[in-house]
Amino acid sequence: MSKPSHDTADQKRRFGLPSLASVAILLVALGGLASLQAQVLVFDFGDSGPDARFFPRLVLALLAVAAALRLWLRRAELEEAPGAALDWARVLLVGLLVGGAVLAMDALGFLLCSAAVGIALAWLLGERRLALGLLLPLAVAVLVTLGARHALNIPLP
Amino acid sequence: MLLDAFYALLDIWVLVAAVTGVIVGIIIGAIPGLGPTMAIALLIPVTFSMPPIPALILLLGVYQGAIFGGSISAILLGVPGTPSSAATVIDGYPMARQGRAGEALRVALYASVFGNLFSCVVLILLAQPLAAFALDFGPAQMAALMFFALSIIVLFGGGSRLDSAIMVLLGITAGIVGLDPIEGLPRFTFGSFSAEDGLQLIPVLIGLFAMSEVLQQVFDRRRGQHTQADPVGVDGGKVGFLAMWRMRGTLLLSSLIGTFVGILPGIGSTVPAFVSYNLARSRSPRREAFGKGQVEGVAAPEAANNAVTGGALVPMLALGIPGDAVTAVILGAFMLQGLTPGPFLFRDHGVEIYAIFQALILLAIPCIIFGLAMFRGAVHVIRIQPRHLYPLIAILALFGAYSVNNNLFDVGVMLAAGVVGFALRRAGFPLPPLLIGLILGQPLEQSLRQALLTGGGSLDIFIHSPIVLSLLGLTLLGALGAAYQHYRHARGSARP
Repeated sequence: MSKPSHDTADQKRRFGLPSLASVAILLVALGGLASLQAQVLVFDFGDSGPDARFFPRLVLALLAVAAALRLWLRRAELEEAPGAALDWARVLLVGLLVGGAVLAMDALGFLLCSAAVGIALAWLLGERRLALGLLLPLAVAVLVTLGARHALNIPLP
Repeated sequence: MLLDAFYALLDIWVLVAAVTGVIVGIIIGAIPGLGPTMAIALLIPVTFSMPPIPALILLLGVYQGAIFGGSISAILLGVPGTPSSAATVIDGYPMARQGRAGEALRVALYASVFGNLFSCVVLILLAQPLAAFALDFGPAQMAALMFFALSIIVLFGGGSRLDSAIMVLLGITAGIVGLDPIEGLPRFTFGSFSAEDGLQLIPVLIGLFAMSEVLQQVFDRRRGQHTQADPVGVDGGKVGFLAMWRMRGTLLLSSLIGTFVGILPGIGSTVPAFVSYNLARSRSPRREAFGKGQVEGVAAPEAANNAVTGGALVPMLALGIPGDAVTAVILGAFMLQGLTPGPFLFRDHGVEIYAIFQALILLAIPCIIFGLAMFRGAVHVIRIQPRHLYPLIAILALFGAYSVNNNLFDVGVMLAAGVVGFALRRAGFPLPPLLIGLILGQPLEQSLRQALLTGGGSLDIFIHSPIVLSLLGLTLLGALGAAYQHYRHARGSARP
């Protein structure tokens, strides 16, 4: 049995994934506030009341404050390490795989792309037998495609 | 109208939908790691071409079946199939280890059905009066109500309140993408025509709850290793009416707790299950037997967690406010079928809604029949390996996201939501508040701005409304209650 691929994942550290996520959320909020003028057009029709920028500005400001508050309040806490690089690499690979399938779907079709995703996932999750690793995802992709087209009238690519 | 609603149920497809929903729900609930949220999110696209009543009965059957299904792996494996069946493990698994798995499963089934029926009756009694009351709500009152709901989710939803607040705000932020609800101008679309429709709810749901789980499995992969213990075999233990009658007090109290906690947004079904378990133990003359295979230790949490289903539907149907992730998904299903939950639902679609109410009660029959029939087969279901299951889920997720608008942009949204959901889960942030923020964000903004526009930009429209002041007062009470809870917890931790 192979060891689970954790590195020093069980060790805690000051700046772990929760803080990283909080920073990302803070950056999203600040980026939203900075781009508000450009991304939200406002035309003044003389209404006395909030315009289209009011609510986004309020929510983004609150989000920025909440994220910053979280970073400040938990600055001394020890957090879980983000995890092994290999684990993240697998997740990234799946993300790129599915993203590639989405981009190629118009050209190659739903059946081929979804089957490829299913087969690759089965392999990444450890299935090495032909029947279950290749044929099962292929069969499901075929069933879903046929069911969508003929039973549900959904025009898949 | 009740008779018209009953006639609407006399359709073979309604029966097929009910049976299919219950069976799928029991299977999904029995497999640890899946859950009704993912199952319903993946099934919604399948229901697009169905009429509203069978479509919604299918999904509600999945919901009811899955909550009971979670008790199967809780009892046979000692691993809850759904979070709400965690309390069932405490006495259910010891019962199975003692060779009383059949008895435990039957008690869980009958208690589940009792809880469901109880909460459905409450749903029927409360939902329409609440909706009728809310018909008088103007934009100011709706804004205050949604603010109250979001506050309760943050204050009492469990876990870190700051994290829940961040997730709610993030969900509301995601809902801003698209067209402004008042002026119809694009916001944060970055020039994309596809983004003008905003982030569609179903692809986001599928991403957050299905694709993120796929990514989680990839992250946590063990090479070909199924880490669960072997399930305990199911014996033929019988449970008669008298045995259940002896537990009538426990069943009734647990169902009450589940139903009325379910009505409150944000609490979910896990808390009432544990509260009911603890109450049953404290009331029992044999409390020292709890935790060692006491049958009431199974009945109490199962009645409570199933009673939440009807209770949670009360604010969802009457006010359009989902209380947790599952009802948020179900709300999306209602909207896609043209039945927009909220105060006008009963007025505009009374026949469909009462048909669904009656179906919720009648779903007890397939639940009992198929629950009893599937005990032994469930042993095989819960042995399904993640490396076989999750590729299938990924394929269904791709299909489900595409089928909403036949648009690849939605599939991209699904993938992005999956990645974001996975990262947030790894970081320990809760996802249900994000989802509820996404659903309530736009209606909250619309109501707030309409109220301010109507009032000429002045806050008087809020101050002069008794309903608004009452809701804000309740919010403040909730905040004070949460602060007191935090203070007591902090004092308790500080004591040596």
